[in-house]
Amino acid sequence: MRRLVRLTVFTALIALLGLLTWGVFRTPANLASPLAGRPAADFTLETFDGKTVGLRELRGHPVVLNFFASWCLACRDEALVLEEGWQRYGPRGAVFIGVAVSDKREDSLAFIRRYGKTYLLGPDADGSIALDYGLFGVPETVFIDPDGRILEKVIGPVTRELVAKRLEPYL
Amino acid sequence: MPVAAPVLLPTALLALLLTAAIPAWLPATRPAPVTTDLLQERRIDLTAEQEARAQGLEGRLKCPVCRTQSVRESTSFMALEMRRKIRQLVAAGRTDDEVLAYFAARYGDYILLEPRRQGFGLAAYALPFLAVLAGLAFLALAVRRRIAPPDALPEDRSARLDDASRARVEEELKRYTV
Repeated sequence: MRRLVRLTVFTALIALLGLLTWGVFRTPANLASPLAGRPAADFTLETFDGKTVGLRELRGHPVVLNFFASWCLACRDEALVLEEGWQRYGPRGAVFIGVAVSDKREDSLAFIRRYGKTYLLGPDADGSIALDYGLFGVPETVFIDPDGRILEKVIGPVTRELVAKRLEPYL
Repeated sequence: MPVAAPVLLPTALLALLLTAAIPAWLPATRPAPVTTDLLQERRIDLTAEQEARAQGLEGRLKCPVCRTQSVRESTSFMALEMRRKIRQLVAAGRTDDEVLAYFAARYGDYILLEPRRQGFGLAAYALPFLAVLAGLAFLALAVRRRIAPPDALPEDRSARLDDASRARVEEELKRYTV
């Protein structure tokens, strides 16, 4: 009987320790986004070169919505990947949008020039776009299907393979 | 007189469980919010009651960037945007639950500093009390075991004594019996 009690207590303690450890190591990167499968929140973006683009107008096109900042090191890792993706899939109907978050205008522009970005880019003036897409930090990328539904939200830099995987089925 | 292991071990276990449960009982103490130019520039004017509610809500949401801090404590850009959004929602007449649901819909329950009082989240509220109860039960069992009177010798045990030994025991008992 004593042995059974000790075994039960020991098992309960191990289970508790496991639960606490799981909680400590839980990060947004390994959590499913609640946005996946839901309609993408509409927004209007005024680009750095003066254009105005609304997400709603882009129905019928797969959209790659990328959040970045000039001070973000990981954003530099994916900068060329996104521009290459735009060059490859833009002519086939994909739309790439870059949203600068918490960044000075001149720094964002310098970053854009440095990496030769040519797709739609503009600042999140009031932070509402970042909040609507549940931003944890930068870089984050949201893949939106032609029906305006969120396919996936990626925390961290994207890869060429992921861009291809998300866009090819719709082009 | 040293405390025997059967009492020391459960006492130590109970102390450990109580210590682990303490953070759940402490009232949330938060430092004063950091005011920044960004927040001041786009300040939303609230009544005193609304401001108190907004600050309370800031303390119930996790900063998505500095995840060990609440929105109230953090100075990250997302925390500032969230504080502005909280004030916007409060000014628009949303309830506390609606404001929390707004952020949970976008970030998941991960953004809530207090787990939901439903489903798996209930475990966070129940576990500390269960742990204390388990510790107390363990301690009570151990103490009861320690002070329980010894069982009487069964008859066949005395039958193990041989005749010579039994005679000697009886002689000694006669000598020392008052």
